[in-house]
Order: sequence, then structure tokens, then C-alpha cells
Amino acid sequence: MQHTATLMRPILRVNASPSGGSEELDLFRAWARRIRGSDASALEAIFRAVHGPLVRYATRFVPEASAEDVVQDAFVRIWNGRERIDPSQSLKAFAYRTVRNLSLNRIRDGKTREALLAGRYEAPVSAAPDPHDDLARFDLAERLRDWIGELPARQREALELSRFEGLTHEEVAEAMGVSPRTVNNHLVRALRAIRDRVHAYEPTLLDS
Amino acid sequence: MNKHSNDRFPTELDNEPDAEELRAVWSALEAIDPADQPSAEASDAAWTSLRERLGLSQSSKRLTPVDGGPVADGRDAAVDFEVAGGAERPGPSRRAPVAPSGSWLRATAVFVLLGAAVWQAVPVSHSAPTGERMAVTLPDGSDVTLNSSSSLRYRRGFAWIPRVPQGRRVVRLEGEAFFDVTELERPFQVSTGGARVTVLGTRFNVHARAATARESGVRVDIEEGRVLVAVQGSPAVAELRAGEGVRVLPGAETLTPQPVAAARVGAWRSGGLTVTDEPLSAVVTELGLRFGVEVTLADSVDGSVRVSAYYPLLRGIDSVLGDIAMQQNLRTRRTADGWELF
Repeated sequence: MQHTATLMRPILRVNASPSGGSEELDLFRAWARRIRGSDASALEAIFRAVHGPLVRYATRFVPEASAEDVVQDAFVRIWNGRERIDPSQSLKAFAYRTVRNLSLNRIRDGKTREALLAGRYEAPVSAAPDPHDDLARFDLAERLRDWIGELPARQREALELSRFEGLTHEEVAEAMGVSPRTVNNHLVRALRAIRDRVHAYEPTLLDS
Repeated sequence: MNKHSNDRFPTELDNEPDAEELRAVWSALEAIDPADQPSAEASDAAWTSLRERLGLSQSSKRLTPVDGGPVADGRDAAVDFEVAGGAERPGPSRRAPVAPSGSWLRATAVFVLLGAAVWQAVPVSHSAPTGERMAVTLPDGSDVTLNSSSSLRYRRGFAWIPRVPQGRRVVRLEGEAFFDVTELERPFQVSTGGARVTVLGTRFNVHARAATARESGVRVDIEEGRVLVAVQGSPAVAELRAGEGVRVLPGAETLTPQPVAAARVGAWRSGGLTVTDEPLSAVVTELGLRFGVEVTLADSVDGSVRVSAYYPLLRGIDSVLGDIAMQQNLRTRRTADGWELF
């Protein structure tokens, strides 16, 4: 069991609370203050807390081989710019935004930034399903992955950051460089699009 | 299950006319929650590489800014941190382009800061004598129940500037206590000889007796909410949720949370006893501290044998010892100061 395996190690789960992220915010604020005060242990704490998710996020933009480098570069930036950290802002969102910007910088060659923003967020959530595997065609999870993959890039990014990475509206907005209102619109549209696909696929699926 | 996943439907979406349907979609997405990756080993390697790149020393410890030694040595890492934090708070105004500040003015400011730090540093302590339990309400309104032979210390700075969000609350525990913490927007930490508990939730029990620290370490059990447990002098950290507990052995490299019955957490508060996989030697020490007698093991008895037990209400030490003796195939006898298992 994945869960058990995780518990066997030193772990740091920071955003598992179903009740919301305010305690997590406190933790990140405390880390931000300590990083600003050049406390390397706080950098380690936040690094370990978000490293995995940030690498996953980076692979949405850059090849897997570069994702780790991008995340490392982002933390070098955070550390070197630590005196300018504002603890009242979300350091988590700042880390996501830095990874995003560095990823886009890295693949900028030739293309304009806007073109990248429009089309680049596209790495698959999982390996593409085998078209010959009939069972997979009936698997809701596979369907959901496909449908998320079909969403416009920014809707999909907002949805994944919000639903799977546990960022708040404000943090997603900060990470993506848009307003919380825009994030809200992206999310609503993304969820509605998936809902429509679900209804077409299996009308009773969402009834509770 | 991805540990960063957000099961909570964003409240901002509640205003949408079709919020219920959107919520159903949100829940359905649980099915494709991506696995957390890379692995913890990869994170370790990545951190090592980053640390070297930044030229940071290896000795950094997560959630332990200063290494606080055992309770008995009188030094208190948490309090060092607290005083530093308190003095830092006026920092921005100090650094701001201040008006014509004569050196005497600066000196006065420093003096006032020092004065505040010193006043903050005066410790307040509460102790429950042997055989008694004690209820303490902290200045912030949090309730603490102290078990027999236990003490709690905190600095006055604990309640300083009550509504300043960065006000860090730190208490130092020797013994066992049950905490019911209020005002979760401010960090609350319980510091013990071997572990530091950072509160993200509300109701939990900490067992940290110096007398049994070496054999059974510090034990943290959660009735409600969440806490982070960090090991003193080691990078190990675990987050516990309601119905989980963890034993922190001195300098442990890893922490392994285990399920506990939430209803049994802190049973001692109503005169009960919960023992979860403890060495027999630690259990008899605990009973001795509870009842104010000396309970010893004969040389022939293996004190490392593991014992688990739950009593909603302890009737008397003789009956508990009798039960343990029967379970372990031992016998009990009175001694001059108490009891012996043999």
C-alpha cells in the first residue's frame, strides 16, 4: 500500500486537511519568515514539503529530465532572494510561479511566450491509454484523464493546481499570474466541461 | 492517495448556480488523483544537491532551529526561538528609513526591546504533584490537563500581543498532558526533551516523562485535528491526524504513525490508563508516578516485553499490577516503598 509505505518514512504532509488550508498557510508563513532570516532548516522544510508536487508541475511544461533542474533553480532563486520574501504572501504560490516562469524560460527558444502559455501546458496526466485495451475504455478514471487532457491549457492548469495540488484560489492566481476571478472562471468552465462529458458518457454517474 | 490533494470543494464555487453538480465532479476526480512523485528518496537526493549548491551546512534540522537538550539541562531551544521572534517583531520599523534618530534614541529603543525580551523571558510554570491531576488554562485560552508528576512551563511572551498572527506560542512539557488548543491561526508548539509537537489541530495527548524517555521515548496521540511531530536532533517529521499516535525515540531517524482509538486518547484524565505497545519497565514506572509508589521489576523479569492495556478507570495499583502479572505470567509482592513484579 502506497499510504503505508509513506507513513514508514519521515514525512511531511502539509495540505491534507479537508477543512481547508489556513493551518497550512501558517506553516508556510512561519517558514517564509525563517527563510527571510536565513534559516536554512526552514528552506529544507519547505523544499521537502513541495518538491514532489513542484517537479510534477514542472513536467507539465518541460521534459521530465529537466523538471528536477527547474525546481532546483527555483529554490536557488528563493534562497538568494530571501531578503525580499514577504511572509504575508503565499510562499507556496510563489514557488509554483517561479517554477512556471523558469519552465517557460527554458523552452522559450524560437516560440513566443504567449504561444507557450496557450499551448504548452499539455503533458499527459498519465501514460496514454492503450487503444486496444477495451477494459480501459470503460474505466472512468481513464475517461476522466482523457477529458482533463482535452481541456484548454489554462483551464486544465487551474483545475490541476486547485484539485490535485491543493492550492487556494489566491495561490493558483498568484502561480498563474492571473486574477482569482479568472481562476474561478477557469475552474467553473473546466468542471462544467467534465460534467457534460460525464453526463454524455453515463448519465447517472454523478447522482448521489 | 496524493497527499497534497484537495478534497475540499472551493467555497468560491458555492455561488455557482450548478454548485452541487460541480461539487460532484470535484469529488469524482478523486479517481485520478495522481500518485505523489518523485519518491522521498528522490527528494532526499534533490535536497542534498540543492544544499551543496547553496553552500549550506548539513547540520540543519527541520523544525528545530536550535537543538534543545534534555529537560534537565535547563536550556530551552524553543524559548531561545521565542525571544528571538519577539525581539524581531518590531524589526521593520527599525529598518525603515527612520527620522532623525540620535544615538540616544536608538539606545533607548534597544533598551526597551531588551526590557520586553527580558520580561517575556520570565517563565511561568505549573506542576501537578504526584497522585493529582491539574487543569491549567493558558493565557490564550487553551486548556491543558496535567497528569500526575508533570509540569508545564512557558514564557510570559506566550500571550504577548494576543492577536498578532505571528505570535508563536511555545510550552515546555515534562511529564504527560492533554492539550485542547484554541486560536489555531497562531502556531502552538509543545517542546519536550525528545520531540517537538506543532499543533495544526486541537485535541491531543503528549507523554514525555524524563523517567521513561530512554526506553519508551515521547508518545503523541491525537484525539481530534492534526499535529506535526518533529524529532529533536533529527530531520524526522510526521504529521498525525485524529486517531493516530506516534512514539518518538531519542534521535529517531524515522517516525511511524500508528492507529489509536481516539476515544482512548488521554484516558488518564478521567482516571483511566492507555498503554500502547510500551515496554513493561516504562509501564511500571508510569504506574509508580501515577500512584506515588515505587514499582520495580525483579532482575529475573524482562523489562523490554511489550505491553498494551486500556482501563477506562483504574481502581487501584494492586489490581492493575495483578492484571499485568497474570498476563505476563508473573507475581506481585509488596516492598517497603511499593510493589515488585517477580
